[in-house]
Amino acid sequence: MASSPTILSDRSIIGDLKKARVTSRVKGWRDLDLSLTLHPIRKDIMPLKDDNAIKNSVKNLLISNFYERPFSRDVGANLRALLFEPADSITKIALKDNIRRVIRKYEPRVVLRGIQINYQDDSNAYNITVIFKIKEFDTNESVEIVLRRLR
Amino acid sequence: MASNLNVTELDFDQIKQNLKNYLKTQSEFNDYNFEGSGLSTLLDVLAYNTHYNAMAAHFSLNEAFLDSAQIRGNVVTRAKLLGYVPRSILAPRAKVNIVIDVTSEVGTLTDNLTMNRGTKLSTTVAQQQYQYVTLQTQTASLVVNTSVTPNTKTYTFENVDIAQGYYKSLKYRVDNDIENQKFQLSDNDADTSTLRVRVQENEESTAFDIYTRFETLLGVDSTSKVYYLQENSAEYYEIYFGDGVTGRKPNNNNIVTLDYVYTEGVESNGANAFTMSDSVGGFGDSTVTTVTASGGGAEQETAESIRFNAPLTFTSQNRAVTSDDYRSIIQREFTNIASISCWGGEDNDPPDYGKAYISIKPILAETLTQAEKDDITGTILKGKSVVSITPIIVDPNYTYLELDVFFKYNPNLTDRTSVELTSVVRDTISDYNFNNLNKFDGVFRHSQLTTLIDAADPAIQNSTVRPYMFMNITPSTTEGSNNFSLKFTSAFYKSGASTDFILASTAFKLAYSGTIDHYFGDIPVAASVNRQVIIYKIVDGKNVTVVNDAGLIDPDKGTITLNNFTGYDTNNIRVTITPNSLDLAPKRDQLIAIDALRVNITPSVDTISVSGSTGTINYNTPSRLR
Repeated sequence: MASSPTILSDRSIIGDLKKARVTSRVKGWRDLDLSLTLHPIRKDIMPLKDDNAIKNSVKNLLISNFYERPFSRDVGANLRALLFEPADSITKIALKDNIRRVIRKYEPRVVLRGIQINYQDDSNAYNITVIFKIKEFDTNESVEIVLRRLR
Repeated sequence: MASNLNVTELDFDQIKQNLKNYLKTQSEFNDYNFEGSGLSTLLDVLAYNTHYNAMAAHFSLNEAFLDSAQIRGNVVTRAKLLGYVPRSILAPRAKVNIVIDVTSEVGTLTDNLTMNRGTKLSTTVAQQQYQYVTLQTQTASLVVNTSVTPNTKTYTFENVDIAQGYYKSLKYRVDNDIENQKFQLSDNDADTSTLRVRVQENEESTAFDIYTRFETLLGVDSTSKVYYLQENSAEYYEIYFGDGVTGRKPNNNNIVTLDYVYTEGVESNGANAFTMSDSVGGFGDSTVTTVTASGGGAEQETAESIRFNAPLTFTSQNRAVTSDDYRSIIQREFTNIASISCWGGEDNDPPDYGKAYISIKPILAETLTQAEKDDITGTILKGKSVVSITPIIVDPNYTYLELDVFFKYNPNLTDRTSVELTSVVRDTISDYNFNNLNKFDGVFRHSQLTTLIDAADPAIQNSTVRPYMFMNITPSTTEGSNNFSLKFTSAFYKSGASTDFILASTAFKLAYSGTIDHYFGDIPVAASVNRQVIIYKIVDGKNVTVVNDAGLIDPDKGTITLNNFTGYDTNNIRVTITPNSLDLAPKRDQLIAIDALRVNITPSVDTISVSGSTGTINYNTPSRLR
């Protein structure tokens, strides 16, 4: 009789009970892409998966400002509030503080590695790169946002 | 784990949690728990939408009931279902005489001069000028006074009703193609009691039909000239006419003229000096004398007041049956009321069946004017009271209190001198009088007053208050015409066979004895609690009885009759009596008021508080009686 195939599952411990083997499935993340782009063939929206889903979540937090979410006034990095502050080190520290706070509080799936802030003199903008590690996949990712006033 | 979406929650957070619970049952998306995720944003939108709809449903349901509606327009609409029209702002009204002096006019003067409704006057209250307008068109005759030289010529308009505000006249054309055409008053501060509605056939016609406000269905038919008044949702008053069955329906192209006064309400209450702003018939030399000072101005009925009054009015069905009905109807339609008391004739003393008694203390004066009484019995209560019941308005009957106040104080506990403490106590008594008395349900509660006095200053250790009741009488100098029957609020002190007076009076003079001062006193009546009133004079420090039988005191009923004397002059006599109880309660038309001039305050240092047991030797306490 052929031995039954080993099924990797987080729920089952199979085979010889004396030789227990614990395995785990890497949990996938699936999120709604708010750009709502259609799959060319299936004509259905395409979910964001795994690291893309998490990067998208971090980006969403960074571009959210206070009082934008209904009944949750402090969700978001509130970076817009610092847009009209002087472009100096103090503002940079404040930007970093805000980013650090929002990611620690609302994105437990990542560990913050670093924040790079470059002030673009010529275009009156901040280039912000947030580098983080996704805990589950142990990979380093980064999200870059440009902070500038509209006009 | 919820397999179905739970729809019982109303709060945003709970709705969002329900959606999350629902998403747990599928595997397509699983990032819903992270605030940054796109799915969370979508859940925010869904939960917000649901919450929004729940709130809208909640609000709109609230607005559907009189008890919970918040928007005035909705409160008014709910009240309308109960047949209740909220009271508009009321303009303060006054009554004046206007004399137009035309002595210096040359040329022929007409026999009569007409002053139109809306003629302007002005007054100043607290450095603020206010405009008043006349409410009726009035005519006066030319009076030539030939007894002086040169002769004076005047027109005198008597008892002109004026109201604060601005006169406005609006014209509308009737268009019966519009179903339920309404005619709106263009000012939300219009006093609807000044509204006059007239309908003329067309622009050219000179005859007007005057329409009156609909009050009751009784006798209203297809020809009745009535208009219906209501407040609309924009908080403006509007009128409409009958449908040709219940009330006459104006014809197409009839012209409706609405004229009314819009006002600033309470602000100019109390104005009592007016001057003409307009000339009358081109004559500008005028003198205005005030008959009744301005009063009765009131703000528009609030939503809370409508909420309170509408069901009450519905309960009484606009009928004056019980004594409370009288009270609510008068209070709704007559504003010059500081306090009102209503009782049936069966409760009167002596019983007077078939009558309903009403006593009103006006806001500014002590009694209502005859015109105001006529307005209440003739206009406000007419058609509402039960057939065979006659409403009678009686003036409030004031019993004034004279107070002897004694208090002990410890000077070590205050910086105030005894004079200052006396002043503080006087203010306390004055406040008590203002807040608690002078109304039909205002009971003089002795312990409350002494508690207030004790608390007036930390130095005051204790206090004693001896109340006495008094009334003023004006004697007649005609023999045999002095017959007073004084009814006090409370029973009198029964002193038994004691010869000490319970009755006292100020000095007065008798017709036949010239300038000698006399006083009222009393003596016991054998085998009775009643006491006989005497008149005495003081000769060499001793009382000498002059009239042995000047009336009777009935301590149980609280009445004093005074007769059998003739005054030398008509100066007032103050008659003071000792009440049986320290607490005094008014009945029916009675009001109790403390006369601030008759509050005698005696401060004394509390020797025991100051020096302990050694102070006991000089410690005196006041007597219970004078």
